[in-house]
Amino acid sequence: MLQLKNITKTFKSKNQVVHAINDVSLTIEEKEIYGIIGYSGAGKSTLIRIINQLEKQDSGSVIIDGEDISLLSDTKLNERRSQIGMIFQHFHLLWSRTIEKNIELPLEMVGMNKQLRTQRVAELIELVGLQGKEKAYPNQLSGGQKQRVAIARALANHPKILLCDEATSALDPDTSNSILDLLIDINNKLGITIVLITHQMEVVQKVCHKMAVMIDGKIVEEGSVKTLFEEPKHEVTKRFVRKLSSSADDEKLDKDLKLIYPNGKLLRLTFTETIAKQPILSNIIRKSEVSMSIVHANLTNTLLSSFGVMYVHVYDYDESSYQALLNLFEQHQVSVEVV
Amino acid sequence: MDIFNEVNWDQMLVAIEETLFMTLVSLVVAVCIGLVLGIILFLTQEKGLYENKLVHRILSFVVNLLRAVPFIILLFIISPFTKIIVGSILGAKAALPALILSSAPFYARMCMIALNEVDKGVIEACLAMGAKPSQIIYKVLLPESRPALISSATLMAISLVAYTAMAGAIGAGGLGNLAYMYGFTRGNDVVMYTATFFVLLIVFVIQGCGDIIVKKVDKR
Ligand SMILES: Nc1ncnc2c1ncn2[C@@H]1O[C@H](COP(=O)(O)OP(=O)(O)OP(=O)(O)O)[C@@H](O)[C@H]1O
Ligand SMILES: [Mg+2]
Repeated sequence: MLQLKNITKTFKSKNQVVHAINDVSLTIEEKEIYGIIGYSGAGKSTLIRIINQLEKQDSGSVIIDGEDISLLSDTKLNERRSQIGMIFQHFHLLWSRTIEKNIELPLEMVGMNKQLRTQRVAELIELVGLQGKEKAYPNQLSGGQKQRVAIARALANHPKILLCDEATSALDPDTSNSILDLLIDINNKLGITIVLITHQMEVVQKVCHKMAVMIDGKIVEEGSVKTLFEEPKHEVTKRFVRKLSSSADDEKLDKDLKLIYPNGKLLRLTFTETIAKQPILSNIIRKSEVSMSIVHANLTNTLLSSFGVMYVHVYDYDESSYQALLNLFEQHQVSVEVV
Repeated sequence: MDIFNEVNWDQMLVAIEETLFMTLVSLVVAVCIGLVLGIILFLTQEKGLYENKLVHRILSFVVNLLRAVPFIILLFIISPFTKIIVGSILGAKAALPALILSSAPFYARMCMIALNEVDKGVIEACLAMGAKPSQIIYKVLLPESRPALISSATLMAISLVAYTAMAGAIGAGGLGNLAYMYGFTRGNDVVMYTATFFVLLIVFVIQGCGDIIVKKVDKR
């Protein structure tokens, strides 16, 4: 189990003070894939770097399996660090070493003998699917392959925790997906706890069990991915969820639909998973005097749940029946926005 | 090719040998000292792995001071010490202390720049693996900065050739000495130009070797 307790971190430079982390507490269970999402500058990188003490917090504690690692001596800390893998947005491989030598590096650091190292490197190469690339240099690989090398390197010493700092942000969607699949695979096969930070909801949606939303150094919402997708409470969480629900560019869709349906009103309905499985729409249509038609629908599936967004066009109504319709939606816990 | 009869080839050969001797020995020693100083400068700088303002400032000051003194003046200034160490202020060996003293600080500075150019992210990734600072230096910093370290050494070797010529002119032997004493002062143009030719040859060979090695080690 990994616990962060009341972490704060302030950066002071000559002309400004940045409260990068502001009293953050988190508990991450074993074998969990935990996502921390937030906009640029929210303090995500700082937070994840505090987990392996690349950055020292000003106050608070980082407790891994009951041990406060921020209190350890340098030697002990180095030992613990070799048990925490980390991957980065820009891979951070050594260009001067071949792929196998890059993967071997953390094994050299802990003083493993050559024979065991060679054996372990071969296992890791296979795990990440890079057979045949052993003797290549990083600059001869694609971004996705480089990230695979970085993952192999991070897993070399059998860590219990893997930290991912925007690990897929520099990759195209397909490659990014294959890396995320690899992370899920690793989590399943090896039971490693994964902490990942990202600004992309797709990533959290695809791989995480639990998530936290971070703004200005604070965690504003936390819970299972399912809960946060179904019932986002904080404005920013809602924005992230919505952005994902119509990743086919919200604004463009709104504009296109408005062009097609210039009269009446366009409503965007958001269904959570629990209600998406009920015949809400038919109930409402039966009870309402307003004419409406479904003009666009989109269901999103996360690792553990699904929820939907639907656009309806309403016309031929008077004000009171329109209000009644909105009430009906509200009764059925469907959130409505007028486009 | 009668004009080359004016050249005393034995003497020329000895001069070439002396120039190579002075250049190579001072190069090797200066690179070793420079590397150590450069690493210390790198480690002790602000936000370095072993940040230490005092050590960094003092070392920086000494390095800058030595680099600021023109070589020819340094040669005179340290001649009493040279006499104690080498036993003489004449001859190829006598030029070594000054050559080393002026080039090691240069290399220290270049080394620090080269190390600073190593991707900070890579260092961080290695710290995250639990690497000790000594491992970071041997396994990460030096290998990753090799091309820059080698091209700085090439650059330094070339300026050392020039310095040996300067030292030669005041009695340290080598091609510079030959060109000046036998060529210039005695008006023997052939000797002067032949010596110059060999100086250029040495410079080109050094540059060529440096370029080839850099190309070979640079896998970026
Ligand atoms: N070493 C530092 N010195 C000064 N300020 C820093 C330092 N590191 C981070 N900050 C500041 O702390 C805040 C949080 O930075 P951080 O890198 O953690 O954000 P982030 O959420 O990872 O953003 P991004 O998505 O852009 O990577 C920012 O305002 C940043 O400018
Ligand atoms: Mg970041």
